[in-house]
Amino acid sequence: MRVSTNSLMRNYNSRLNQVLGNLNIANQKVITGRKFLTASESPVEAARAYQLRRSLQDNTNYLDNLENVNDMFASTESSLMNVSKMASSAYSTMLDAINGTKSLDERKIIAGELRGMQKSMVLSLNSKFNDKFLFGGSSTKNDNGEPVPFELKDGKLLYRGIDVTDPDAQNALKELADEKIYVDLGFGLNEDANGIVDNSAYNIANAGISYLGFGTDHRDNLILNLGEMADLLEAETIDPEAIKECTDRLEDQKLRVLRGVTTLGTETQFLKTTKTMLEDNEYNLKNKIANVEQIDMEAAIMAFKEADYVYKAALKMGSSILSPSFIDYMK
Amino acid sequence: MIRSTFYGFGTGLSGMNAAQKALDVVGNNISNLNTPGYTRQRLDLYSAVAVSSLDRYTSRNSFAVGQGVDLGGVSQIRDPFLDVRFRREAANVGESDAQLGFLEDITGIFDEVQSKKIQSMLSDFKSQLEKYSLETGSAESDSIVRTSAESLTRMMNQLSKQLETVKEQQLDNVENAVININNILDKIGTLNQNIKESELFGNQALELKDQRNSLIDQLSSYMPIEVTYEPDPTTPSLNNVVIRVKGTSDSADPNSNVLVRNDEIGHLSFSKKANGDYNFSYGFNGAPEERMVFDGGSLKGFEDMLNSKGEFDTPPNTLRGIGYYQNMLDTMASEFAKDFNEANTAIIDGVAQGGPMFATSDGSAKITAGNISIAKGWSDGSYSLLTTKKSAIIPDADPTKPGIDSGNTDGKNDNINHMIRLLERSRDFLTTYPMSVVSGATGTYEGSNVTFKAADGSVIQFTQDDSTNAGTVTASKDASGVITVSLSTKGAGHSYSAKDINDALKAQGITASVELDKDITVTADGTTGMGPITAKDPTNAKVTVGGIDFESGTAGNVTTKIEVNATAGATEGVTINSDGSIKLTLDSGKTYTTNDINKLMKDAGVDIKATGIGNPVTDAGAPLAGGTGVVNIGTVKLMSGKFSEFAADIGNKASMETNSKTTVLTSHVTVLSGIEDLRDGISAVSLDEEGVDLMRYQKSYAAAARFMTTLDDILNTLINGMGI
Repeated sequence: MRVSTNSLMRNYNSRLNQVLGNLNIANQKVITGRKFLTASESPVEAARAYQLRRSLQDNTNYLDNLENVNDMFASTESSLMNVSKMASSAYSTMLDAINGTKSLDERKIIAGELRGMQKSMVLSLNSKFNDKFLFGGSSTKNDNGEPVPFELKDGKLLYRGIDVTDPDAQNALKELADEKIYVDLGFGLNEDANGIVDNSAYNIANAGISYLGFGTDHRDNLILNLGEMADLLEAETIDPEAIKECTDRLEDQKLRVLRGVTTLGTETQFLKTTKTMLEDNEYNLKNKIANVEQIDMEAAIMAFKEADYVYKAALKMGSSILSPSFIDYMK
Repeated sequence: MIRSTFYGFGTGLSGMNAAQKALDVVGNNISNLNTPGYTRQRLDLYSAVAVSSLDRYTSRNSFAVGQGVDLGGVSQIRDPFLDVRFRREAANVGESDAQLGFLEDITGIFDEVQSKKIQSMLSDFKSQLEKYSLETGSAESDSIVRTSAESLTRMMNQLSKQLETVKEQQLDNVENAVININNILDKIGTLNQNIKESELFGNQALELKDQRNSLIDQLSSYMPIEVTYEPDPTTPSLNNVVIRVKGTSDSADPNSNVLVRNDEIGHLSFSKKANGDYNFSYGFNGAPEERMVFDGGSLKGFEDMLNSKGEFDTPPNTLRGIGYYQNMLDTMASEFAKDFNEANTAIIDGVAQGGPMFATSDGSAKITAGNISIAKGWSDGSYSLLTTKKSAIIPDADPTKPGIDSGNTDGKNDNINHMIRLLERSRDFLTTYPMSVVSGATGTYEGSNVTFKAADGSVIQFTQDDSTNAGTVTASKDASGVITVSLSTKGAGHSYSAKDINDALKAQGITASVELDKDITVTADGTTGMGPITAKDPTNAKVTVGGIDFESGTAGNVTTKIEVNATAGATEGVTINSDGSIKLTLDSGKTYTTNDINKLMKDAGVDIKATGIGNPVTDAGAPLAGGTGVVNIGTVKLMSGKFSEFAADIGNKASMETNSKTTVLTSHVTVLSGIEDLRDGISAVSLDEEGVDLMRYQKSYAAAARFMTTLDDILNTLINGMGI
């Protein structure tokens, strides 16, 4: 084929431009450390990267939530542990009180101790974490003068303003004791007609009333039972039958609180396992993102060197190809 | 034979002349080495015939010797076939290049590889909701979620605005292209005139032809052209250049696709139509400009990208222009707002709680990506995010007893979890396309593959008319906006095309047009009225409910239930239920026309129309039968997935299209540059060759001069040396 001077130059120009373009891309890849700089350069990998980024963001959300829940559970556990200790102590005090022959004054002192424990328990159960009540179930604040979770007033115990012995409120208390607040920890949050599906999210609600118990009888509730016992101890004549009934119930109530503490411990353990899983996930996702988006530096530098070499070779060829023609050799 | 004494001098002179002239041509070629469009020239040489060799009295066995060289003229070296190939490929390059120009801009708008845009904002919104699910009841957290939602709406606004900007910039591009094309046509016309005049005087006008070829090359990237040479009607020995464009014109002018014929040229213009589409119009030599659709070239690329909406077109197609991306973004905005507004509104214990999270910033009813904003009530604190939809009152086991108020339930987060779930769940993103239908007094069909595009949504009715001449179509529009097209039924078997109907509409100045995939055939003989025109796919396309015929859709994949309720004194209206079914309420004491019902349907945004009303409705006061029925709506599934996946999908589609178009363009450019190389191989200047020619003609000049010297020596011998 006949080769004209201009087509030679044009082709050289366009190829030189192409080689320089390649050099530029190789250079940018080394500088940015990225496999692709725009989505259109590598649409499939870009789509994959977007997907992985979304998964990583979700995972980060779950981890954040989990940390929060974990801290909250630690506080809950320690407060409930206090209550449990007090219940145990009350129980041994009571055993002591009924076994020995105590005078009325001594009994009054024990009764005072029990009343003190009542108050301490209420305080423990009204404790806050991150400015939110731990044992109020879905009631977490009282900024606008709402009732605190537990209030001991005139011999009555109010849970969220509801008298726990009120016969009309027993159904409501049952609901409140079983109240659930879910948080998304990456278990595949799902909904059905009744709301969030139980095993698709994590329940963080802690209704204090579920640990204390409730019923129309004062003795059904740990705190009120303590009051009941104090009343019996303060009586002129002691009623051993009544005290035994109270103490028996106290034993159960003590165990219930302890079970609560144990359950919280198990939950904390579960959260720890979940955290490890989420952290593994995070590591894997970051790894995958790096594989999809980040360049292998050695390969990139090699590619850059190669492009640089090609460009220089093209320049050199240009100076030797383009300048001479037959005319340069004419005499 | 006797030879003239000075016979050889002429031969020598012609050799010197030829060499001199050839050197001039070489000089010209070298000088124009870098002139764009220059075609190398060549001196045409012939050996001169021996004088008197054909004389009557010349002896037959004479030794006739030629008399040197003749100059035939200067000609260009060009291969017309390569020009044709070049121009055809240039149109392909032009088309891909124009499309890619749009796509690169669009893909840049959605590209989140190195920046944060809608996907990141959506992700952030979800993160804030996740955090909020543990912090319900905190005003501060509510405001953090709101700020995140606001960033998301602003991002949608911005992306929508950027798409508008891309469109505006590309419109500028098109307008410049149109100006350039008209300039080129003008220049070619003038050049043609000049070339013709030169040729009349025997001048070959090679340089002018080069200029013309350059201009034609330029023109070929804008549109597919065909260049022919036709004899001039007045001077048949001269050829006129005729340039035609490949495309479809609405004009009946036989010259509607001629761009240039000698010095006659056409004019191209570009304008926006009432329906928002952009069209090119073209008219040759002063003829009225009519819509022209080009078969290729950058103008086609521009028009496609400006007008095509892909899945959002009626009927849907796979060509995704800028409108597709705008509509995708709008769908995202409106679906998002719809879901969340619904989620944040509830009636709890008989009291309306919460309110819409999103609204429009311009007061319009329809939420789009361009106008989505945070609802005023949410931003001014009139209401906040609804954390729960559950009542704080716990009902008693005994329903006769009042429930118990559980007090403050600020820790409840069921509704926030529901919102997170809205972002998590997979769903179908759909778009429906309007299938306008028409009604006829006697004939009824309008149908599945017929689209009636009245700009104002007017209903078009067909009637038959046996009083007019066979084949006549007339159109009229009454005060209420109903367009009536009347087709002559005189004789039988008449067929009417969309063009027949559109011409009739146009003649009456009615801004409406119809598109038919098949001509309308009138089978009646004029006395029995127009026969029914059969629908291609009439399955479920029609339904009669409560005495009203409804029609819609082609082979749609969504069935919609229609319910008609009519009671005396009811307020008429159309409501769309949450399951997508449509409820039409009418006052049985009133009289309705199809137009009344269609207006109600249109106001509600329903793509179903009434095509006929039976007696129960038209008879005022008579009870109207209620009922339900099912019709098909043309529906296209855009995608199935989460909001985040939908957002990613918009960008992914753009980047994939860009990537594949880049490959297409590269291959067209490679072919084009190959053809250019071939063309240069024939027509361009090679310095080597010219150098060799320089030497060759210099040598031949020297040789011719040497020949003269030799002749002179001979004469010297003859005159001075012979022994006298």
